[in-house]
Amino acid sequence: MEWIVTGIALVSVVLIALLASRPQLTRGHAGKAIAFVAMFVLPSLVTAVGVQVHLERAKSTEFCLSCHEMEPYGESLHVADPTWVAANHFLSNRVARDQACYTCHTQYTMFGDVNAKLAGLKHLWIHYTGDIPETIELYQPYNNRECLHCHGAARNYLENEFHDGMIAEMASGEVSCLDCHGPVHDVESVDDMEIWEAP
Amino acid sequence: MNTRGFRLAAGLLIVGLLVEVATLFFGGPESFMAFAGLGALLVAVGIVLYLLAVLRAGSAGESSGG
Repeated sequence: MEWIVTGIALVSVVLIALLASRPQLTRGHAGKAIAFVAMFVLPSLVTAVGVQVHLERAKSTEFCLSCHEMEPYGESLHVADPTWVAANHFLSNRVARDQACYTCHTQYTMFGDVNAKLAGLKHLWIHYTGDIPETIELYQPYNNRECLHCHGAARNYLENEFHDGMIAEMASGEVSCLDCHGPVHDVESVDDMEIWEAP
Repeated sequence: MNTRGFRLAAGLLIVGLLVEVATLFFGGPESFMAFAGLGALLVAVGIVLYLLAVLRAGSAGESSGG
């Protein structure tokens, strides 16, 4: 995709340079049409595809963990203790490893994707302004909806004896999944934990 | 067409497009910031200036009778 966009951008750049060096070319109808394509259509297309490429990249685990503030969270994904929720999901391939952060930290709602991007922009702002809180916290309590997006219809969730009589409460958020399942990241104790890396 | 406005738009578009393309080959938040904060911004301003130059050329053509 990057090379296609680059090709389109270079065609646009060459045409724009030609038109800028010889503006008289835009006097005729053909010249006007070429100028419109080179200076409006192609740049808009390159920008739109570029936005898509960058937004897709921003979903990657590597992207999230590239900020040093997130390093302990990245380490917590490798904790060998299976009770650690994030590590269990990551090491057991229950989430795609290349989009691990995004899979659990986006909201599965109509505008969840947009909200995640806006939150990401806010994180970038905080990162660059250096106003980083000592303890990083979620903006709002973790919503069961994000867990139930995958687990909600799973047999091992619905038929689990510990969930008996609580399915409705968990669906409504009255009972949090994290009341029983955890720790999730617990970055303060991650250094004391055994770390598992793929051989 | 206003040649100065047209050339300014062209310059901004060229620089903006080159910045956008360059960021596509680097990952990470910095690359995203350069794309959105510089490349896309220059392209957007370039497009607006180009459209203004076209509109001005159109209205100048009408007022001069052709």
